[in-house]
Amino acid sequence: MKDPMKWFEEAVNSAKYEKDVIDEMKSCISEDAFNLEKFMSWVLEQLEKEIVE
Amino acid sequence: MGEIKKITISGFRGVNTPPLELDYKKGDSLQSMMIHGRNGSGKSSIVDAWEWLYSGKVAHLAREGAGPQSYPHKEADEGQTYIKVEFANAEIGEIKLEYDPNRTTRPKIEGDLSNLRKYVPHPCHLRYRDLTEFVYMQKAKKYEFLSNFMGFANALDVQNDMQTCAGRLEQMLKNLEEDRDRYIGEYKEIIGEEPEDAASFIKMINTILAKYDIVAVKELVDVEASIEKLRARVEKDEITQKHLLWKEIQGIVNLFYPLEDIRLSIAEFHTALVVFKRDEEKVSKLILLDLYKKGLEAIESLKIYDKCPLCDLPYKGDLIRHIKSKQGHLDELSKRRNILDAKREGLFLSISELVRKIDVAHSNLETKEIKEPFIDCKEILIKLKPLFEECRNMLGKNIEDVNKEFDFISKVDTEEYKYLLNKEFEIKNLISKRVKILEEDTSRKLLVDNFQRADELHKIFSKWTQVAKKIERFRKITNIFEEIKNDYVGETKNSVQASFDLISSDVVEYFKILEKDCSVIDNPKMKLVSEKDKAVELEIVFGGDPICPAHKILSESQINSFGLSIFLASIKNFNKDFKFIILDDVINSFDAYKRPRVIDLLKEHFPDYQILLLTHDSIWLDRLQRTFPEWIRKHFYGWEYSIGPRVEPGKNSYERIEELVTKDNPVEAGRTFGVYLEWVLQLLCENLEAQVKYNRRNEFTLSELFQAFEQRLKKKLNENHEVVKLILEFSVDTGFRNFCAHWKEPETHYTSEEIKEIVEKWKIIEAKIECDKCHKFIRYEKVDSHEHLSCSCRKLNLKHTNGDSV
Repeated sequence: MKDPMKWFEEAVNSAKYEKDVIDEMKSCISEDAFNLEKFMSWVLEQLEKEIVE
Repeated sequence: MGEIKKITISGFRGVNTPPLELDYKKGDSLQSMMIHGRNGSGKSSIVDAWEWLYSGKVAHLAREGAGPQSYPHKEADEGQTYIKVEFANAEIGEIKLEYDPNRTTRPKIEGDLSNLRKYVPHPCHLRYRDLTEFVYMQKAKKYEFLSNFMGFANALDVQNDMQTCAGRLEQMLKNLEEDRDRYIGEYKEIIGEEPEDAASFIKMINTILAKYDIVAVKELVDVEASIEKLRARVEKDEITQKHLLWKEIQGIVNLFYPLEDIRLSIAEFHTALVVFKRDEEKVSKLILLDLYKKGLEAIESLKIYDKCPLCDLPYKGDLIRHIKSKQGHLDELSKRRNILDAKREGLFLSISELVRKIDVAHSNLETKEIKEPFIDCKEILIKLKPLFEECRNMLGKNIEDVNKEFDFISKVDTEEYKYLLNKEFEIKNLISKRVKILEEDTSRKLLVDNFQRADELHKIFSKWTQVAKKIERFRKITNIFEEIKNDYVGETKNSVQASFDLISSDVVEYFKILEKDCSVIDNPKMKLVSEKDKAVELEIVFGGDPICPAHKILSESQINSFGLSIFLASIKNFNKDFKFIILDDVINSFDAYKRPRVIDLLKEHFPDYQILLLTHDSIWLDRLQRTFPEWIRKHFYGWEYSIGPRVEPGKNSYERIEELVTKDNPVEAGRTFGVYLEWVLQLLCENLEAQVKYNRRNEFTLSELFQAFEQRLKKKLNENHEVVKLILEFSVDTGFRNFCAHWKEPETHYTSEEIKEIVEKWKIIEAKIECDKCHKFIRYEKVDSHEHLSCSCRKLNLKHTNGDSV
């Protein structure tokens, strides 16, 4: 559990979580950080997409 | 044993050049090292440099706002700030970290630093300040400290980021909900009820459309088109069109009025112009005014003339007076001209503004189909415009060029101009009345209201629908995010707890050594606080009951024992492949009587570890040297700005006394021995449970301590015992008595020889009461009603002269 990237890798493979969210969260993970700006941008993008649809 | 061959530090913090070299080789082996030096001698620079190598930064400096720029010694040149470590493990080899002034956070690295971090997953250095800060940390900070310490730094950073992200998401949801509530409020304000769904909205819109025979809509997407139809109805409505026209006319009139009346001003100007221009000849001479001025200046310094040199006419009397008289007439004329010109300028601006207003009003009204009486206004404007333009053009000239024959008055004082001036109120009033009548037309009002209401409701409903959709999707995302975050945090916590469990038995063991005389406290534990994402508290069993947080009942020194136990247990469990520890003045956080226990702990549980121990406590150092005679000793005996620590081989008290005696410094030698003997006698009195004469100051002289020690041994061993005989002899020695009385005084009451003799005699006694195996002094024990005077390992066991145990 000391390696966050590995944990997210396993979380994606577990298919336990909604795919698009866990995929995006995994893409925001680096060795020692969670890129919250990137994640927030993605969330906003999802909301705009929802309106268009 | 031995992980480090050599540490070299140059130009870093308190160390400059020549580089400080800590060579761990002693004979064929690598040894531990103890460095003694007073505060400020540069010891901590060693730990800072090690932390820099290990983690790339010095955390305690960063917390105080000192970044990497503060690492180099002020006099160190480029390339001179570095730490180089030679490791015994060939896979790590040699690593050098050099400060790069161009990239302060990215030092130049030689060697495989990543390999070092592989072998040393957890920090192996501990400072006094780390321990004391740990004591007072809040539980969340304690968690971070311990988790970082156990290698969860990255996992925690990610956890912190996700926690921040959760906060941002929460705020974002709040903002969306505020938007939604605002739209609900606006909607309710218009029709008195909150929006429900598309069907009810369509039903409400259809009710409005039905009033104007517009076909009902079935789908939300069709609403906009139907509202446009309603808009078209509004635009085509006759009353509405009229209303629109009169509103526009009202706007034009409001721009046109107020209108300035310039008739009087222009009449006055014309009269003044005529008077001014009566004497055309004089006016033309205004140009000579400057000439008179300059001429007077020249003539006053020259000869007398028969004729005036300026007007070429004969004069009577004084020439200067003649010229000044002519100049005076022109001055007056010039003043009149300036006043008149200012009037002209003002009138020019006024009439220009009138022309502009006429232009704007005329062009705006031109396309409008207006009826009586306003149709006349259009005609008036057309007539007035050229007349005013003529006046404006004339007034735009220089005053000398304005034609006095130009008939300003007949062009301005016209019936049309008078009409416009007099009818302002009447015109405005008439327009207002017409607008009001049209506005109050019920059918038009209802149509416009219904259109505006439908249009506004449609806009709000669309926004409300959009934001409601956003909220729904947002909640889905945040719920999943929370689930993932909680699982991640939960697993991190479990892993941290597992690490706690792994080291817990060692923590208990080490704590027991450090706090062996305190039987009421037991079983120290690190406990995760379950209701928090990340919080840890220390728990202790006190008198059989668990107490959390432990600092409720533990003293600072006991908490420090807890902290040191955790640190050493972590090193033991997590740095299995790297047996090296740096302890910087950690001893300071312990009471004096506990300090030897740290030595016991190191000796018992870390015999195979290489230790770098830094201290400023010389007495404790003596004890350390007795226990670990093989350790390399260094003494930082001073610090110089341009060099750094001044280093010499470390000496124990006896070696220092010997050196001082050799240099014939009996005062310093006596003082050193006094401090040492006082400490040894305190320890012995404690070990032997000797009765020392009580005083309220809780301070004891050497005589009092020695007397108690002597009496105790005499009682337990008999006065014929070899050791007691030596002690009795020592106590009656005049030199020793003299020393006891005067060792703290600066004046010399004894010679170097006397000090040497006293020390030698005491060394003989000491050798009899200190074990040569465990290096501990004798202590008194009573087991099963048998009394013993023996060392910890029992090799040394003093018996009563009758052969029995004491």
